[in-house]
Amino acid sequence: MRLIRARFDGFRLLHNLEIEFSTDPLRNITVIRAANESGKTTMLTALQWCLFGEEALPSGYTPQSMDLKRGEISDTVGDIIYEVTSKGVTKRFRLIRSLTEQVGAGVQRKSTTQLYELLPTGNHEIPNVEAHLAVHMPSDLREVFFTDGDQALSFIQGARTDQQRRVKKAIEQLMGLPMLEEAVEHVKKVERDVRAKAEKSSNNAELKQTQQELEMLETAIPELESRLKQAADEISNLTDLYGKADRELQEALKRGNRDEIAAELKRIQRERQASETRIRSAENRQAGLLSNNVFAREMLGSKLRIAGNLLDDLRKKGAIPNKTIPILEDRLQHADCICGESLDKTDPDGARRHRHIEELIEESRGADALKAKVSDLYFEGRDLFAAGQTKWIADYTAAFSDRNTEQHTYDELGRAEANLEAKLDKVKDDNVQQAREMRDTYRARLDEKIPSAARLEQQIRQHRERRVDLERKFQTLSAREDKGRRFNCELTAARDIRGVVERALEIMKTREVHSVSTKMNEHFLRMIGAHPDNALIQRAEITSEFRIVVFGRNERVLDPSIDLNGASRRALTIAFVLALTEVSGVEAPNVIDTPLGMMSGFVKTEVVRVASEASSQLILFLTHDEINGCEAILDARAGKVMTITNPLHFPIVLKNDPGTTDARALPCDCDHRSVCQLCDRIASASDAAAMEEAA
Amino acid sequence: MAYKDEKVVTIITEQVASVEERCAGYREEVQIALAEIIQAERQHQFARTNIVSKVGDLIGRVGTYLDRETATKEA
Repeated sequence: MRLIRARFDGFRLLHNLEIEFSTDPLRNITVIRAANESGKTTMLTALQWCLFGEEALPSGYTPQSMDLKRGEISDTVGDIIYEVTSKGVTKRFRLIRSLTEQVGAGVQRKSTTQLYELLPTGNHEIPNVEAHLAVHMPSDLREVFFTDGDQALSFIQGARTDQQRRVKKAIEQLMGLPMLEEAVEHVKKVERDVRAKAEKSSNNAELKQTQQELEMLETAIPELESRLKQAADEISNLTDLYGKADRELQEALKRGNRDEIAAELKRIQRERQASETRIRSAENRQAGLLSNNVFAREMLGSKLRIAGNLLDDLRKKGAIPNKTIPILEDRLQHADCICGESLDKTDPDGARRHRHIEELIEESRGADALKAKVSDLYFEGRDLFAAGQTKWIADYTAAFSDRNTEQHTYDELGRAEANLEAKLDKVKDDNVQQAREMRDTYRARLDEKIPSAARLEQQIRQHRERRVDLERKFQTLSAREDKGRRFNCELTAARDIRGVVERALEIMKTREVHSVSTKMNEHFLRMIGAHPDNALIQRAEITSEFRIVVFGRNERVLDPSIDLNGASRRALTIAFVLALTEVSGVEAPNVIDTPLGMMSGFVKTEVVRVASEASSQLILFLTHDEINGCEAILDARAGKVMTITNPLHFPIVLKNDPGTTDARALPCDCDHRSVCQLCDRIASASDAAAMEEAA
Repeated sequence: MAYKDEKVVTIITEQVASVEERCAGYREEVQIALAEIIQAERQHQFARTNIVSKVGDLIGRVGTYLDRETATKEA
């Protein structure tokens, strides 16, 4: 199928919008350039709706025009002209799909279709439209040929079994394997019918019994095969779950066991408390060194020595110690003075001398306070004034260092404690235990399933061998009957034909999957510019289990969903889709919405180049950013380019007033390099600010 | 038609080569029948038919050929 032209009316943002597609084999790209929210995805959906009907719409999706109010009638029309070439003859068709609905009615109505063959003599209407459409573009192929950058990622992202199922389904559908499988079943049915006829026409009891046993096997084998397939799916799923649980257990073990972390936290808390005590002790030691005499002597040594000399002089002069007042007071307790004279108060002279001494005491008292202090200073500060070295600096340095060291230990312990507390918060209760239990459960179920699947395989093998024996026996017995020879010839022909189809099916499953794998690898390596000798990514492959894997250096297997960057992931899935469509030989347009997201430079250009070379017709819905950098390849390979603009983007994004506020995508003929009054856009927020300022 | 059955037919033709030539022209008969079976199967996908009956007729045709040719030879 080649798309020639499409027109949509009343489909969301699309009103009277017409697109022409390139049919030039050398310039096979059609580009629809549009910013976000301008109708690219709507157009992809509209194309699919028109070709495949309501089944192509996402669940709950309605194509009704965006501007219609509740209760209003919505008329949606899709009109596509396409060509189909079969056995060298090209025919052109026009497909019109219409849908009339009441907005908000809640009941989704079914669209109606008309299909015309466009002949030089006029349009010829074709009945049974859906049956013809299914021949021209089978809906089984829709998800491969109509895709977007995100959707295509489902081949390599998500649960492993889902990835495998999607890849397998896409390959099988495009290669036509379901048709061959059905053919095998139909031949088997014919064989059974022939045997039944042979048995009916005979009276041989052994022949009847052989036929009955064959019938039983014919019922039992598909049933066992179905159980084996189910078991294989379960094993694949369990292997996936086991791997995941094992990774979770390893992660949990890395995070640590909750009890172990809690015990470690307690130990650290105790150590931190002890460290705090040691810090206090070091502080006290340091404070002590700052308040003792040694510190004073260390700081004021030279001054103190001068003071010491002064005090020594005073001592030599007898001013120290200060003993005048106590001696005089002592004398007053006695009857005579130290000079021998009487101090007796009853004696007038003695009383006079006594009063004189009392007066002397009183006079001396004022000067004595100072002398007392000097005396105290002399005796108590003897150590301070003594000459010689002290160890104070060494002691203080040691104390300072000890305190610093301890403080550092304390800080480290504090950090370790905070770290452990954060770890403890992250580790759920019995996380390790739970992860281990999950892993062991999956292992146990796998250990059960694997032998059970092996038993099923063995049973199937035995049944098949038995069937072959019985078939031979049936033919031997049948040959003895009147019409036996005729039936035997038919059975031989049926068996030969079935054998050929079964072998072809097996070859399609292996050789053709390998062809898709090889082609995908070629496309992928070209897209990402991987050099075979020194690239980080060496090759991509589809495994026999239908899994897309990537190999790095040293044959290291990489998981595309984890180990590849966004651009390479997209390139890989696009390479897969292109390889599949190429190998299958199915001729249909590759329609891709925003395929170049996350890509830049070389990869972007090469994806467009390879996609163009591998497609019969390539339709790309691209944003301005996606186009940026691959203009040259579009110059060379794009046969048709159009731009669509959402007028509601004025004035924030659009430079000029489009003259309408309707919710409708407006087309213009601007290509990937040009802009017009309608589609000219403000490139960035800073440009918008500059424009505002200029205005 | 979107599907290209040439590939399937090519592989089937390759496999027919390994079918025992039970009588002169037997392989060719099988090959023709198979090509017609594939065509009938493909048509049946898009417009339901009594496919088992069609396949039965085609197998019957090969069986008749084999019966006739081997009977002639034996005679």
